[in-house]
Amino acid sequence: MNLCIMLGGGAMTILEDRRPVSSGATSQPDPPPELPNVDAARQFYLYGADAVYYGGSYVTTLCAYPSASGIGRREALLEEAARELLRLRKLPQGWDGYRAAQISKAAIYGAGWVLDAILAADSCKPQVFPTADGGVQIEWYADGDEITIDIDPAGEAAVLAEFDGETVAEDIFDPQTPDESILQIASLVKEISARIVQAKRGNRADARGK
Amino acid sequence: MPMHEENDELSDAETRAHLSAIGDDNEIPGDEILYKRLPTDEKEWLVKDQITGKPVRPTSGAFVPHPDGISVYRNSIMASQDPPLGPADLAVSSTNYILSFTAAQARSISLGIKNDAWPEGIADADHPRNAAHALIVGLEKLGKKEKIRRQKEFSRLDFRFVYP
Repeated sequence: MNLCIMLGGGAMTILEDRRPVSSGATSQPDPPPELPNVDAARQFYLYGADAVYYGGSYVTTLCAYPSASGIGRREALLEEAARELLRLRKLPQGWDGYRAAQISKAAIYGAGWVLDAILAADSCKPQVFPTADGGVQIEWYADGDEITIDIDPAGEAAVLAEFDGETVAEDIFDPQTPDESILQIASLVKEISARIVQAKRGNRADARGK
Repeated sequence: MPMHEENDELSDAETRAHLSAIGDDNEIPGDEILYKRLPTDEKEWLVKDQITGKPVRPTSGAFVPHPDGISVYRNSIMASQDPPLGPADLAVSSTNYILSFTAAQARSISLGIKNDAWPEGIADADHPRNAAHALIVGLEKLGKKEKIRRQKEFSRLDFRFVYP
C-alpha cells in the first residue's frame, strides 16, 4: 500500500481492506496462518524474541516498531510513519509557543513520497519531527552516523548524510520524482539500519556474556 | 607580524563584518546566557541514538528559523525583572524542555543575536518573559543546503538542559 494513500483523506489503514460482508459479520475472516518452515525456524533461533513471522520467514524487529502479526514489516513501518505525519499535520499554528506555522500539506505528502520510496522491510524506523516553518524533518541516528532529510513547506526535499564523520550525501531533490538521490538515500538507510541491528545484537551479546 | 597572526586578525575582522551584516547586536555580551524552548514533549525535538534508545541532542529541525530568526530569551533581562524570571517561566507546557547556550557559542558558528523585546502576534504576548525575547539571526537568508548544514552545526553545540 502506498503511504500517500494512507495519508489521503484521513488515516486509512491496511485493516480497511477488510470491510464487513454482511450485517451479521464484522469483517472478512483472516486467511489461515502460514506455518514456519525449517529455514524460518533457523532465523527464529538466530533472532529469538526479536523476530516476527511474516511472509514465510522470521524477520528481526531489533529496530522496528512492534508490528501487528500478519502485516508486512514495511507496511507496518509505513503505517506508523503515516500516523506520525498525520499527528504533525494536526499541530496548531504557534505549536512551538512562538510563530510556528502549521505543517503544510505539501510537506506531509513530500515526506510520504520520500518514505514510500526509501523504506524497505529491513529499514529502521525513521524519527520524524515538525519544523517551525511548516516543514517536516526525517532522521536516522546511530552512534554519530546520521541521515537527515528536510522537506520544506513547499514539499521540496534536501538530504544531508554523514557517516564516520564524512559527508556521504548532500543534495536537493523532488520527492515525487524518483532519481539517483532517492536510490542513494535508500541505500544509506539500508546501511545505517544494518549498523543499528548489528550494534544492538553486539550489545545484547555483551550483556549476555557479563 | 607573523603571517598566521595577520590571518587570524583578518579572520576576526571578517567575522565581525559578517555578524554585523546579518544584524548581530554586538552590545549583547558573549557570556550572555540564551534560553531556547523545545516545545510539546521529548518526542518532538530530541534525536535518539537508535542503538541505545537515548536522546543525544536536539534535532537540527529545532533550529529551522522563522522568517525573522530563531526565538530565544536573554537570561540577564529575565533575571532583572521584578520578580526575577528563570527558565521555568519560559515553559508554556509542563512537557517543554528549555536548553541554554551562550551568545558566544552562537557567534562561533557565524550566527548573530539581536534584541526583539515584546514580539507581536504570539500567545501570551504580554507575559513579562517577552521583555527578554531575542532572535538568533543569520540562518533565515541562507540557501537550502547551507542552511541545513548550519542548523546541524547549531544542534551540535554543547547545550545545557535547564528545565525541567
